[in-house]
Amino acid sequence: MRGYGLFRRCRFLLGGLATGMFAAAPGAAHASEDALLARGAYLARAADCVACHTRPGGPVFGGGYGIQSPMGVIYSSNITPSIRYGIGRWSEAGFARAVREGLSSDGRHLYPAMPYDSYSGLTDRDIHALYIYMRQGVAAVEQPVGAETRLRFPYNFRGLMGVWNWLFLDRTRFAPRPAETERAARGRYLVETIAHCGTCHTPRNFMMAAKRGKALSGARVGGWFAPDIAAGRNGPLASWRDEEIDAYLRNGHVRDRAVAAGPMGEAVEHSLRYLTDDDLAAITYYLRLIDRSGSGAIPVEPRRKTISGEREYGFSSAGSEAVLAMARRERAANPGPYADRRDYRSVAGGAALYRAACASCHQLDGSGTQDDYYPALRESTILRGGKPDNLVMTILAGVHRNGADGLAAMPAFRQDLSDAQIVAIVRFLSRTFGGREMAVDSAQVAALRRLDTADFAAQALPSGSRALNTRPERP
Amino acid sequence: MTSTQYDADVIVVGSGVIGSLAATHLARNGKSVIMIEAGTRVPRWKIVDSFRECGNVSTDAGNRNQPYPNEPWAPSSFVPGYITNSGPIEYVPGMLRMVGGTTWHWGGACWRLLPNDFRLRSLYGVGRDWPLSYDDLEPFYHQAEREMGVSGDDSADYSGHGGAPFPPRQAPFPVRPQAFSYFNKRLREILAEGGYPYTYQPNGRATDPYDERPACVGNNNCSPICPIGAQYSGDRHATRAERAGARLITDATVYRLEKTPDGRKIAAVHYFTPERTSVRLTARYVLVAAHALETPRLLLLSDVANASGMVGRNLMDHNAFSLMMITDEPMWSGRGPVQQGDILKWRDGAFRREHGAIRHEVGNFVGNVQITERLLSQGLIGPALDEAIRHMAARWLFMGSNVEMLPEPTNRMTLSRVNRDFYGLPLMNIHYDVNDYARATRAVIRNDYADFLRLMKGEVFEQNLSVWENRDHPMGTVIMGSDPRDSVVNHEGRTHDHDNLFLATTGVMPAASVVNPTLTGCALSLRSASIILREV
Repeated sequence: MRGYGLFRRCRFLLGGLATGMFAAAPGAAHASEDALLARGAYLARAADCVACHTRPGGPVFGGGYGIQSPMGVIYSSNITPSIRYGIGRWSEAGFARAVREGLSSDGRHLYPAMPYDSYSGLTDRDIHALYIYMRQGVAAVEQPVGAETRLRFPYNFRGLMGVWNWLFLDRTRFAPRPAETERAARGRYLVETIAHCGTCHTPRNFMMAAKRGKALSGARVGGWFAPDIAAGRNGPLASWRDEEIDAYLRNGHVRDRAVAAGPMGEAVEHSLRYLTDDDLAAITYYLRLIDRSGSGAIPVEPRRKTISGEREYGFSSAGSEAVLAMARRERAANPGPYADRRDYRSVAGGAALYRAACASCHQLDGSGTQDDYYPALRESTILRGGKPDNLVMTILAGVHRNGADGLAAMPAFRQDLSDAQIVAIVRFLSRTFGGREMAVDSAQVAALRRLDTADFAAQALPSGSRALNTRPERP
Repeated sequence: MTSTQYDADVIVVGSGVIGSLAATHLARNGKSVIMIEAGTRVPRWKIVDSFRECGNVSTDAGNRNQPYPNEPWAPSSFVPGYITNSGPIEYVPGMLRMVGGTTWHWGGACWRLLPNDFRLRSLYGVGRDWPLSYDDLEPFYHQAEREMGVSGDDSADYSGHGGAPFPPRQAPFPVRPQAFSYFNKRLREILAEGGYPYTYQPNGRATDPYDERPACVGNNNCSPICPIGAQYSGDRHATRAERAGARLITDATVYRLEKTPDGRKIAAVHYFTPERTSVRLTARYVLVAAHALETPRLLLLSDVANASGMVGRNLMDHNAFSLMMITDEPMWSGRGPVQQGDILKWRDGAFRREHGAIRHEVGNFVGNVQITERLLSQGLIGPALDEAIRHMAARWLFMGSNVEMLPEPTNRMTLSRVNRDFYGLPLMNIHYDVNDYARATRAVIRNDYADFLRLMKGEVFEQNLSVWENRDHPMGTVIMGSDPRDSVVNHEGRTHDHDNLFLATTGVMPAASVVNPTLTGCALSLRSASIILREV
C-alpha cells in the first residue's frame, strides 16, 4: 500500500565509504556514537525513508519498491550497507550529494521521486547522523532490487535532470533566520525539509517542480488530494486546536475533524507517529504561521458548532430515523433489485447503500461510535470542501493505518461497489451529513479507480469483479 | 505453466473456504487454476441488506439461509426436496451455494483436533484410526490459522483437563484472544467453583484488524451475517485465489467427472450453465471441495471413486442436546460474538471406550424472542410483560452439548429416487441415526445439566435431553483410510481409485471428535494442495 504519485514521499539513495569516523576515547566514543546512531535513526523515521525504500514484504531498506509516476514506474534502490547491491562503498560526501542534490555516487542523476528537492535543506550535521545510521545501524541486504527503472522517452535520459536541477533545485541549507523563534525554525525545518510535507501538499508545475509561492496549498497525489494545510488566518486548519493537529499527526484521526487514509495514513504509520511531542508541536506551530488572508482564493468552510456534547447513542435518533426513511423510500420506488438476492449491481439508492454497506460502523445518523473507533462522518472535512476525490478513494481503497493509538481498518469496497453506486453514496453523504452535495459523476470515479488499482497492484481487481463496471445496467 | 493439452493444471470444484484455500495456495505457487462454483457471487453489503429486510430470522424456524441467494440451479439446503430423510433422525444441515460457501453464516469456531482423536481405535477400541497423525497435520493447521487469522488462547489446555497448553503448536495463535464479555467472565468464575474449566473458543474473528478484515466489535450477528466482515468467510480466499491468478467460474454446476478410458484418472470435468449449456474442461488434477454432501453426490452421479462402496456412507455430525436456563443473577448474555467459550471436561479420556466425547458450548445469544413467545403464551401483556422480558433476558443462558459420533456405514447419503434438480439430476436422500456410543452420553449430560443449574442457581427454561439436534457438521461421507476396501481417499486426500482426483471436504474425516470440523478440513485441503503442487 504505498506509492501514490510521483512525488509522494521519499527517501534516498545513499552511499558511503568505510572510514574511521571517531578518534575519541573508547567510552566517550561509544556514548556519542550511540547518540549519533539514535539521532540518525530518528531522522530516518522523520524523513520516512522506509516507505519508499522497502518493497511490500521485502527486507527493510532493500529497495525495489515501484513508485507510480506520469513518466513510468520508478523503482527505489537498496540503501543498505551492502557493498554489492547497496551503498556500502559510498563516501559521506557521495551520500550527501545523493540526498541533497539527486546525484548518485556513480554520477547518474536520480529522479525526483526521491525528494532531494526537499532534503536539499538538510544540515551537514544531520546528513552526518543519517550517514552513520545508514552505514552502521542498518542490516545489509545482499540482494538486488529486482526491477529496473525504465522510463519512457525522453524521461529515460537522466541527464535531463541536470537541467531540472539547474532550474528548480534550491541548494540553500537550512539555517534559523534572524527574528525566528527556535520553535518556528524547528517547525520550518521539519515541514519543509525533513518530513518534506511539500512533496505531497505543494502543487507542481508542468515540469513536476514545486510551484513557487504556493507552498503547502494543496496538490494531487495519485488519486488522492493532499489538501492545503495552512493553520494560520483563513487557513483550512485555522479552527483546529493545537492539540487536535498534534493528535492528527500522531494518531491519524481527530474526532469530528478528519481521518488520515491513503498516503497520509502511511506518513502517520511509518513516520509521524514516531516524532517527539516537541517536534509535533513545532510542526503545528509552523503551520499556524502560514496564513491565507492575502489569497482570498481558498474558500474556508465555516466550522459548524460541535455536536460532540449532544450526540445521541442509542438504538435510534432523529438522524437515524431520517436516513432509514430515506432508504425505505428508495426501496419503495424501485423494489426489484432490493428483493432479488442476486442483484446487487442495480441497487442505486444512496441512503440504501449507505445503510447496507457503511452504517454498521458509521451508524445510520453518521455519528460513529462514542469512542471514535468508528469515526463520525457528520463533521468530517472529507465531506466538505467540494472535492470528492478523497472520499471516493477512501471508499475504494479503505483505510489501513497504524497510528500511535492503534490500528484502524476500514474495508476496501473496490470490488463490491460499482462507479455509479459510489457516486450515489458520495452524493448522499455530502448532502445529508456534509451540508452540500458534492459534484461527482461516474467518469470521475472510474478515473480514480484506475489510479487506485495502479497504485495497489498487489490488490488489483479480481477478474470476477471487473464485470462490475463493464456489465450494462439493466433497463 | 499450463500445457496446451489442458485447460488448467488444477480444477477446484467449489469455492468455499476449503476449496478456496487450496486454490490460493496452488495459484500463488504458479499453477494455473480454475475454480468452478455452482452459485453466484454477491458482496457482503447485499447480504446485510437482505438480512435486515427478510424478517427476524430466529422466528423463521432458524432459517439462516434466508438472506442468501437461492437460485433454482443452486438451491440452499432448506429448499424443500433438496434433501429428503428416510431414517429415524432428520438431518438437513444449513448450507449455502455461492462464492465463499457456508462460512458466510457460521460461528467462526476454528478448532484443531487432539492427537488422540487420530487414534480412536488403537487407544479406545472404537471407531477408526486416521491414516495420518496430528504431527503430520500440524504444519497445515498452522498454515490455515495464519491464512484465516485464527484467534486463540495460547495458555489454554484444549484437551479440557485444565493442564498445560495443549495440543502442541509450532507457533502461537496468529491473533490474540478477544476479551471475554461480562457474561463469559462471570460464567467462567461460577463454573470454576464446580470444577469445570471454561476455555476461550479458538475462532476466525479478528480481535485486531487482520489482513483486510476490521476488528470484531460484537455485533452479535456472526450468523446469519457478520455485518462488517470481521469474521472470516470463505469468499476472502476465493478472491485471493483470483488475485493470485486463478479463474473463478460462477453459476456453473459440475455434474460429471469423466474418467479416462482405463478408469485410472479423471480426464475432464463437465458443468452446466443456467442456460443448460454443458461445458467440458480438462486438467491434470481435479480437487473436489464441494461440501460433505454435494461431494459424494457428484461422485455417485459420475460413478467414480466408489470401488469400496463407501461413497456417501459413514455420515457423522455432532448431534446435540441443549439447555436453556434463567439464572439467579443477571448475566447479560448477548454482548460480543455469538460464541466465546466451551466446557471441554469430556473432550478426551478413558471414558471414550464407553461413550462419546462431549463439548458443552455456551451460546452468547439474546433470548428475547424465545422469552417473549413463552411469556405471551402464558398470557402476560402490558407492563408486566415488559418487566418479565427485561428480567429474563438479563438472565438468559443457552448451552448446546455436542456429542461425538462414530462412523457407521448405515448412516448414508444416497441419490434420491424421487427428487431432481434444475438439470434433471437426482438430489439427495439421507438415512441417519445416532448410535449407542453417542446415546450413552445422555446420562453424563443430564448430570452436568443438574450441576450447571445448581451452580448458576438457575431454573430450567427448556431442557432437551430427548430429541437429537444436528449441528451442521457433516463428516465421514467420503471417508479417509489406508485400506482401499473400506475407504474412499488415502491420507493425502487422493481417491484410492483415481490418481489425479483429490477430495477436500470435512467428508474425508474418519473420526468426528467433538469440535467444529472446518479448520481440520482446511488443514487437510492445504496438505492435499501441497502434494498436488509437488506432482503437477
